Amino acid sequence: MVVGGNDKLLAQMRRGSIEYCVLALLQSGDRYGFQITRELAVADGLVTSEGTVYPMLTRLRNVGLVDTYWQESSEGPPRRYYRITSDGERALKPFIEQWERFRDAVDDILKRGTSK
Amino acid sequence: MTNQDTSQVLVEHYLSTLRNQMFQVPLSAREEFISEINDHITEGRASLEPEDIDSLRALLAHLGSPSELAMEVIEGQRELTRQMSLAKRVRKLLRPILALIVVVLIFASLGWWTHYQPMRPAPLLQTWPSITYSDGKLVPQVNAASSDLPNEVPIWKMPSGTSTIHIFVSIENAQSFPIKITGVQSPFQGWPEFGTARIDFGPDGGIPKRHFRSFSLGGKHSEEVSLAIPMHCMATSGSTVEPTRVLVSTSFLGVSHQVWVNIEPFDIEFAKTC
Repeated sequence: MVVGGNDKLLAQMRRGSIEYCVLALLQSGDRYGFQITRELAVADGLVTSEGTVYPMLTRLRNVGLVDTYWQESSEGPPRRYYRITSDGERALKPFIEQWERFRDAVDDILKRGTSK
Repeated sequence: MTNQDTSQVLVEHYLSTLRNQMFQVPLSAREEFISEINDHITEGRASLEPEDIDSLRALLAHLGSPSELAMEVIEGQRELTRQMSLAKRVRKLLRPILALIVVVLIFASLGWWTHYQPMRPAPLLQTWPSITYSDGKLVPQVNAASSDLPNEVPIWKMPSGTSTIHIFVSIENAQSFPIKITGVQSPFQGWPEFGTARIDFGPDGGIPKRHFRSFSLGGKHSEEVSLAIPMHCMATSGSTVEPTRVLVSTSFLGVSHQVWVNIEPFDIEFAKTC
């Protein structure tokens, strides 16, 4: 049981899912770090500190789920782009299937609880 | 101090605090992370007015406190170290196992090469050789040979002209696995007096009348092989040759092997005149 308020609850839910959210973002196209953090920040509650996304990107790269390349930018210095690898795609697929099942099950239970 | 200067001081202070908080992190990882945060701030500032201090503060606040970011990086490094030490332990464990497997394979191969002798003569089936003289007369060895001393091998005198020696050999696969017989060599290989042998075999234990080619010899089975070796009389000083075995080439699981199969021994005494 998670005790200690909404912040802790959110932190735990975030921990288990945010890496897959990054993989899902990259599946729709390569992105540089700032883009990834901003897109995650826009989604409510997914990222509280944008800087913490970078260590996570490093972890994903270390385990081979993403790789990086540099690309020149017309707006400033070159940017480090992240792209999903085939291992990353293989890791994402079962998560999506499990997540949908899990979400539906929780929704179903919560609806039953609140309808009384 | 202008707001622009203040902005720069804020950013530098943020980055230097972050660098100090990350003193435990290896230099390359630390600098890579700081460079990414710096790029992030640069990207964020690009959309802000240079004088807009409040927005810059908000940008840094959204990034997170330096101590929070440092903690995240340190935790990531610990995790990486744990994974690497685990991989190291696995490698340490696997190395002797692999070495053992290699050693076992080497010894097994050596064992095959030096000890595995599936072929052996079938003693009860061995027959004495015979000879066909140049006039076509076939004479069994017992009628053609003599020996000066009892228990010595029979001695044949080399007849004049071209005659043919017939040697029958029965080979047996003493093991349980089928092996392939790939060749049989004349016991007179290399002697100028003897020509190329005609080699026949009899599949399924029959009389050898099929020209030799590779065949499979089942476990605990024997096969008859005959060699007809032409012999040309050449005048020599009267030395002798004593064939005692033939060389049989085998193949088992793709590994070639050669084994000697004994035959009934006899001496041939070269003629002084032909």
